[in-house]
Amino acid sequence: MSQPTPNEISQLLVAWGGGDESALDRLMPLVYGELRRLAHRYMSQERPGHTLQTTALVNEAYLRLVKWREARWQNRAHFFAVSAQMMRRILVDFARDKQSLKRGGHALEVSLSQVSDFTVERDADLVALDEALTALAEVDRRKSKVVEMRFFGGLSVKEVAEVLKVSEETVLRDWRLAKVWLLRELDKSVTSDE
Amino acid sequence: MGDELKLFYSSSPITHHLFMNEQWQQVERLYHAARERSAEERAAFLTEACVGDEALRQEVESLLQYEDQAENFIDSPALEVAAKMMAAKLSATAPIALINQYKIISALGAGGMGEVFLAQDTRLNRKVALKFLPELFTKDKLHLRRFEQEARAVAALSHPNVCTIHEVIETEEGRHCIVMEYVDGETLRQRLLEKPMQVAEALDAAIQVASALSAAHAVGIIHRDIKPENIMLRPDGYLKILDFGLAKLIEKDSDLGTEAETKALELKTSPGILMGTVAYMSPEQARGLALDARTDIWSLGVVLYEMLTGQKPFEGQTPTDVIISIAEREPSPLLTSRAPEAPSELERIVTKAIAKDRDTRYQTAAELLNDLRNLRRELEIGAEVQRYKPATPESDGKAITSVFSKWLRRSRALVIAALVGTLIIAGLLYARFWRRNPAPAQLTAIKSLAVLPLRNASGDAAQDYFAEGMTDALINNLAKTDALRVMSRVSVMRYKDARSSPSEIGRELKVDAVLAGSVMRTDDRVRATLELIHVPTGRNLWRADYDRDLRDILTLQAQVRRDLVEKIGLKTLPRQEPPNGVPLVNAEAYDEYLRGRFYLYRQTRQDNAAAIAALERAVAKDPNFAAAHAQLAQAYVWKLFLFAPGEKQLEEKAFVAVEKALALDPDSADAYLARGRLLWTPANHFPHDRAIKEYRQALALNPNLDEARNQLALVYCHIGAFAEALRESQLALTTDPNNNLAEFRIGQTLNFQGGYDEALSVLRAIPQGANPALVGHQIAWALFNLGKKEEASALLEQLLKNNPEDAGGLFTSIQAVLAASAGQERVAENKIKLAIEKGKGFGHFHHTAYHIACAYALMNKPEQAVKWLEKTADDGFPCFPLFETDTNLNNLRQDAGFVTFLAKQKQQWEYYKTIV
Repeated sequence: MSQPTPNEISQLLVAWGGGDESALDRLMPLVYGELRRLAHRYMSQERPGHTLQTTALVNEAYLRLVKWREARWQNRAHFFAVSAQMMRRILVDFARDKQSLKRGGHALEVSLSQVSDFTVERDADLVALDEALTALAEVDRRKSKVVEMRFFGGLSVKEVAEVLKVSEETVLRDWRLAKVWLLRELDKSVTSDE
Repeated sequence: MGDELKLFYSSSPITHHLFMNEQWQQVERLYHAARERSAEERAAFLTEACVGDEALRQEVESLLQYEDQAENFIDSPALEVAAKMMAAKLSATAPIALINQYKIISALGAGGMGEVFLAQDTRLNRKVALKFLPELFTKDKLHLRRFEQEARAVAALSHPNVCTIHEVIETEEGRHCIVMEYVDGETLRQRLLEKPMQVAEALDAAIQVASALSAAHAVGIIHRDIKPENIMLRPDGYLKILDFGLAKLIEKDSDLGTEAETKALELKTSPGILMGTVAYMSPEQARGLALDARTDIWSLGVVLYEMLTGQKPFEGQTPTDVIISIAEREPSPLLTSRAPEAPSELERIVTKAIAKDRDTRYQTAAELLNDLRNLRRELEIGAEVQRYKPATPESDGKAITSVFSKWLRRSRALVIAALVGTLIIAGLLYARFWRRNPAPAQLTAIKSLAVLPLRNASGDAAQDYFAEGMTDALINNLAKTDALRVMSRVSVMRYKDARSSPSEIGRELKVDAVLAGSVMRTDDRVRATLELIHVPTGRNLWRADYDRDLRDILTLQAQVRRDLVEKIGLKTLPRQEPPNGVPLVNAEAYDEYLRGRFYLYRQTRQDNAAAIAALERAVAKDPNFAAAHAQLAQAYVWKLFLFAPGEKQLEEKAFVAVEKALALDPDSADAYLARGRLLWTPANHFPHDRAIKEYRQALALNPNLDEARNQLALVYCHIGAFAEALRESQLALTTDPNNNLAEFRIGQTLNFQGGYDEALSVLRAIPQGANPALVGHQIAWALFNLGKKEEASALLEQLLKNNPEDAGGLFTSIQAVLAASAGQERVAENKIKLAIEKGKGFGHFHHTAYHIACAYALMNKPEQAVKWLEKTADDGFPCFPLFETDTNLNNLRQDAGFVTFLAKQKQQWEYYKTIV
């Protein structure tokens, strides 16, 4: 109905983790709320280059979304994993909507040159990345999980190591190899698109 | 490449999996192994490793091609990427940049009632918010006019808690837009999502809303849509209600149907807002009845309930469910279960505000306001009484106010009498209002403070130095107590142009309160406005305006300090107030002094010269200005350290400045800090004990001076007082969480203790920009000792590439250790020669010397090793616990020379232990 409390968020995540798709509809506004909040922060930044602050803002947003401390989860690791999956689903859906809107030609042309601080980065293409990540899961499931948790879930190396029950060193090595693998995969899809 | 890949990723499902898995593991192993090699070695390595398996080689090579790109790839989390996409989109869809005299600056947000933009009113030169109304709501001209009338009536109120509507304009395209006061802050909704509200904070907000409603109702205006999204909280504690009268646009008799339907429509048009608004509707509103002022009272009751419990009283899966719940159900047992710390009186108030029958509800907002205010008053008295209670094991001794300690000094008997009295009152009030621990008592438990950069209120950039200097002076002044942790200058100056609210910054810095404000200098007067904000509640605890003669600026600072000390209830250090009162300053000299401090912290050659020039002028104009002498000494020290090492004349000038400062003010922490730095140099053979004394003295006078803590930790680390070095570094981090030097020292100390794993993670967490050479050599040392020799070697190569001069031969000497451990004696000897060559004329050579000793020890050459160890210790690095435990020296353990050396070091260490 209304904005869920931290406790409800964790219940919704459990429900979603258990296959209840409707739970995601309740989680979505929360993520959108944080997105909008961050977006406005970026826009209202008078000067570029406040990177330190930006990072702090993003971390805060993740914390607000997944307050595991307040949620009495029996299995912290499981919670981390599910929340990362949720973020992936919602953010990729968001990016997909934006794309279809652009392709439909309804929205105004986004002129990035007018927006000084926003550069088009390779990783901006969340949809392509999501597809590449699914392909990676076929080859090496753990590495795709590492990316899902770090990139989509905003988890630290330590937390990822905890979920996967491997050392932090291993997480870093997985992360490294996953990144080059994904980059190569993205390159492939670009060439095949053209 | 395509064909080879097929080898990996195609074939029948089962065999495919096994085959791929094995191949993939091989790819993974080779990829990491190749990465550890330099770019030139890789090709050869792979060719050799993949003999007979060309596909494997190509697979690894194709991955390695992306090495460089991978560096920053997906390093920002997805949430940030998506938010930037959204920001780009919002900026791009902003309407025409200029409407009448309003120039659009940026988008502020979107609600059910339209997109909102921040704009500059170019005529009146102020910021305003523009709200574009959806055409759906403005097509009915009659309603639009009624809304405009009501908006004017609200504007006429000019109540402090009502966001003022300036005007309603129509754009050329026929869109309607409300021009209103711009409120810089967050909505109550955002605030509620952050964390639960304290009772005092919720009560304060409810009082402000009730006050605005009471004024509006008095002139016949109903809001009709009170909800957390429509309530803005400003950082200074003021609350503003938005969208007054806007509900007029969607009144029941329009052709749009009932309000409930309209709201449902509104929700459909903007998913993501999701029905939040239905939850605050009164039963009569939900039924579509005619409304009076009592509907707002209901909504405020719901908001108050939510502020206290974090949950809404009426919920449901769909809007219809919610409406049924509002109309028919009693809310779940209220505050008793959901907010146990709330006083019972509050529960009575909320229950009365959300009575379903409006005739049994509060009949006027004024009535509700009255009850809320009475409760707040009683709670505050209760909290006061709480503070006067004698310290119990649970209660915090520091909460005892200075008023109380004054009593204590005056008369014990009086105190006992007062205690008996207050305890009786306390008991009565406690029993009446509190079920458990009272929350407001925490309001005054302030143990940490950040002084945020004061705004330069003059608008003249040339006065920036003045605002910054005042900030700095206040920090310095307030920091001189061990009862309060005051964030260092460096840590707060990061927020100079920050857009975050003071409370947000306070939370980021993890302090209990922040002091914020502005300052302005006009000719010979200085005006300052300061406010103290309690971070957990966002509440404004204190606010004051100062206006003084510039010559009296020290008195002003002392006054601020006294006022705050009083407010916070601190015990102060006895020596604080000078015996002869605060001296007047020469206005011109003070101006130069602030200018000097402003440049001093910038630490480029040019700024350092500007700082010295300004401070020299300051002491010329006022030779009795102690603080200026102390700062001048600091400026000379920085010049010596950064730009003119070993310049004898400069060193002498610095010592003279220190002496002058201390003669005028024996309590100048800065002067002691400067003297410590002047003493602890290679030329003086690093007199550890004397430096320790100076830094300790500085810290006794100003416990929050983290530069002195960094220095003290540095010395402790060198003499093997590891626990003390770690402690001081940790303390330095409490006043500046981003103190990279303290982080580095912790890493270095952990290395010396043999905790290489931990050292590595600490050192790697230091931001890359922060002195990579310094941090890098310790990382290399940790890697080497962890057996990751190839990684260490690669890192050293990279460091040498970026710093070819290799000051002091530090990197080269670690290369020597690496070679020695690999049995490459010739290489090791060459590297040692090279390191010595590079270290010539470089004072801080003892670390290089130690590495050379380690290299000789590993080559089993005890005579040379001991010779270099002696040099290490004599040159200022007498680190006995390191010599005793470092496994790199294990070959020496039986050597007679080494045994004698170690015994001597132990003796020295015993002495140091007595002084740390």
